[in-house]
Amino acid sequence: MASTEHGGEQSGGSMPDPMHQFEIDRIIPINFFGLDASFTNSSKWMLIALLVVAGFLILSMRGRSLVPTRAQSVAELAYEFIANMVRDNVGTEGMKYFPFVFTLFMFILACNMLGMVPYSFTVTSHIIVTFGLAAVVFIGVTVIGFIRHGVGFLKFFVPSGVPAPMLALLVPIELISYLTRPVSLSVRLFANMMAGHTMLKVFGGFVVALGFLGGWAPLAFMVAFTGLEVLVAFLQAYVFAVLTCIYLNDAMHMHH
Amino acid sequence: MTKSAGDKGKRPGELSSEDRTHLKRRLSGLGERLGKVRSRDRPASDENQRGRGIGYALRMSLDMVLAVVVGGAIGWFLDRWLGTAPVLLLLFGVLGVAAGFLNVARTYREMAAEAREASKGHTAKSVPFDDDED
Amino acid sequence: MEAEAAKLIGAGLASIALVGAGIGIGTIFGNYLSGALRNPSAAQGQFANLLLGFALAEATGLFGLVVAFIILFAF
Repeated sequence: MASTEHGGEQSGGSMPDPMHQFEIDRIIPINFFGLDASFTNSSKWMLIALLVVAGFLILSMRGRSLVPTRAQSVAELAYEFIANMVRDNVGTEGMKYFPFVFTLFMFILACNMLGMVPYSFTVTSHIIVTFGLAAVVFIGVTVIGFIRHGVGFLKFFVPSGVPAPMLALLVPIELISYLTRPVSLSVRLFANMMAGHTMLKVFGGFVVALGFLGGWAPLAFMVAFTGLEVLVAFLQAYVFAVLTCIYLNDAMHMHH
Repeated sequence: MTKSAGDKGKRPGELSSEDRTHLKRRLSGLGERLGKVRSRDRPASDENQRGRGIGYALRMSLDMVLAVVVGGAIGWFLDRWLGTAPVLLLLFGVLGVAAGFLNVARTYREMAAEAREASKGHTAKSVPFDDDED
Repeated sequence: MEAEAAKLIGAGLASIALVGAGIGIGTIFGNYLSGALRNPSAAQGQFANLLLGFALAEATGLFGLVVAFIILFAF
């Protein structure tokens, strides 16, 4: 959104626009009853992420050997990692939501990691994508809470052992605190990915601008920063999955 | 990626007895080595805890700020809907600050419990959430 | 055009909040470190408090950032 007024014109015009990488362009324009439902580069990379995850898991698990091959053990590692996370945070009855958490984690991880490939597009650096994912989690968790506890789920917003006059103040506070969840979930992922990729592009511009003699310092920084970005890409997917588990736990067992 | 042709000859479930003993020996050797590596890495659990702590800290600051933003946004929209100029914006902004502190207090309690658990010797997080406090 | 320029200046001024956040974070970590070096055995127990202080100081900076964004995009 901020792409037009900043960027481009810094440091004498030799710098490329660091926001250019986030631009959406339509590959196949589709007009769906007045709605712009085009197949964009964002959709393309989501599809690629989906294919990568599905392809990796299907191919690596095809052998089903007792002693896993390398690829199979990576797939098993991912499975165990998320299964333990769900078991630790939600408990054994939370395991019925394991497929959802696992899918979410693998998709976000694949999107983040594919974003680290040069010339690719980072799907998770757009807030609407991360907010969509967070909204799915938020609405799903709330629905689960209502299904499990009925109207009693509303007690989640009423802290126990508080005198009645205070409740008028505390219930809105609890409600705001609850509504913060999807926002913080999406903003964290989006801000981390976008800030990291912008930073990489800006320093890439420095390398070009400083030329062969001075460009080595930003280049060295970029190499280190790329490593950090890979870590962040994993960490953000992990945090998203952990927070999903924690919210699920809150909805299922109803205590903070 | 896929398995080699030699592996494919024997079915996954069928192991000859010599294979089995060989496997068992390898497994126990692996267990021993894992134990060694784990004991060597024990001090790293402190490092691990520190990393998680930084994650908590970043989460707390964002949660605090976003609670105010969400509260303010709710107030702003209600104001526009009801036409009560800045009253609800301010009210919900203040409530948002309180919600932010609530978020932070909750995360802090969780974090402190985890730190206490970790300083007791074994790594935290292996216990289910239900067991700590309340 | 003038309103546009004023907007950018305002956003830049709002970013000065990060000075406060920097001072706060520096103070917190510096004091924690000096305390931890005097009494290393007590340091571990105060790690959670350290992070709480860090988060609150960091939140101040983020508030400035939010104000800058509001000035830039909401007006």
